[in-house]
Amino acid sequence: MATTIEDDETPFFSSSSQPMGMFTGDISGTGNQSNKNELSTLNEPVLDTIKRDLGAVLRKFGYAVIPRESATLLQQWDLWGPLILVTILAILLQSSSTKVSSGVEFAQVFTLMLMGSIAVTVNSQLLGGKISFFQSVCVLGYCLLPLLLAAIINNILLYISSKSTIPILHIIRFLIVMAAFGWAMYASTRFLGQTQQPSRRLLVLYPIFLFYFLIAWLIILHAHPK
Amino acid sequence: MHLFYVLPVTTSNTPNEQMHIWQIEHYQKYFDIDTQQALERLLSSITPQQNKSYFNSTIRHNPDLYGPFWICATFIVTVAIGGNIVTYFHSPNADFQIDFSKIALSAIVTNLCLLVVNVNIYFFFFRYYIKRNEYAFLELLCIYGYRLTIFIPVSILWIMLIAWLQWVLTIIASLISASVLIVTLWPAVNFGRKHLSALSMLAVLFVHSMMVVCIMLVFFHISDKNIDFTQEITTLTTMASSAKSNV
Repeated sequence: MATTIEDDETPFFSSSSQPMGMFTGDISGTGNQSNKNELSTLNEPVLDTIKRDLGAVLRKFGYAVIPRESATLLQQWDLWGPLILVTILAILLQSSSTKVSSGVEFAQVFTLMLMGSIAVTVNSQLLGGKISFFQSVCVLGYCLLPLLLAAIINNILLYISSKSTIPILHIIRFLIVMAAFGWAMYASTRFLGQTQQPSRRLLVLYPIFLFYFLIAWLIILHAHPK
Repeated sequence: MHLFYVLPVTTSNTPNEQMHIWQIEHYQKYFDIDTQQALERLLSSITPQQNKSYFNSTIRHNPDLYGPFWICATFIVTVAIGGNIVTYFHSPNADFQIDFSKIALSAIVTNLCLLVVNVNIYFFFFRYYIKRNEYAFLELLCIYGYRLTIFIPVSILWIMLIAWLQWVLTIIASLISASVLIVTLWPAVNFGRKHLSALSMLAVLFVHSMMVVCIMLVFFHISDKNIDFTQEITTLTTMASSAKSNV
């Protein structure tokens, strides 16, 4: 059991015993940049830093939307993309009714997404997955992009036709959001499904399904924006 | 960042003893289940079988927490979505707002409360009355969690607001889940004072059905007066808007 723990998993705390009686320590960065590059980026202009980081975020969005390569998203994880997506989605899902203040609604949606990501990640770790906590949150957040696009289209459709109540409008909205849900599900399956043994893959994918399903229904039921 | 701590070599240095509560591996043994096993347990919790108790064949050796937790979560999600759909269709157009917090909070509270209360009842009942520690706490939790499976499709069908249909569905689902429970637990309970054991089982089932009926009434039931009123309003508004567009 000792070898499986130290070889296969990336737990929060790791400890292993060696037969030699000496201390060894090794602290290295998890990213692909070595220490020399870290030092030199302190002196570069701010615009370069912003451009580089923004480029990395946008590239990850591209990988999440058209799932073609899985190494970049997992190894160079960052949480900027999920933060931007969740914030914009929470803003879009607000309504202007006076019953509940919009600040409370924003907090509800934000908390829901945060708790959902945490639950899905902890679940996949408990089932023996080889993915770390932040990597999984990163992938889940980036794969929200299709749902965000569907929410934008949803708001545009409702704004255009706010005067009339056409039943077919709701059917169109439903179909668009469901298509986006399927797309997000496919993208995250490509990334997160590979980190599990095949016998448990469905067990790991089901909470992801539930999470995206809930968000999709929040978008569909958001029928009267302003 | 990899830090290797070296411990002195001893013959009894097994890594299993080093797993603390704050490590994920400590809890992994509760999630040691494959897809096939999970599906089997789900199916056998929906169909009560008279002869063999699925509990003894499947869960006894390997209680898992995956099933109960995610079945409860699915139930909460379907109740929340279904309740919102119901209010969406039966409220005036401009007034609808996703009242998500109320539904989610109450669903979480009822589910967790009932789960904990029921399993505690069983636990203390087994511990203190029968004095036979036949079922561990986790196994009872497992049984109770899988009992909720039948209510997930029922909660989707509750969206159809036909009163008698809702009640019939509730009764059928409660009967199925109760029969699963009784078939599983009766052999263990069925010795000693029969009246006490029967009464306690009935009490637990009563509490369970009360929770389900409460959920149905609060989220999915609109009184008839409300329906007629809102239907009139919507027909009037559509007629008015169509008259305006015609003019």
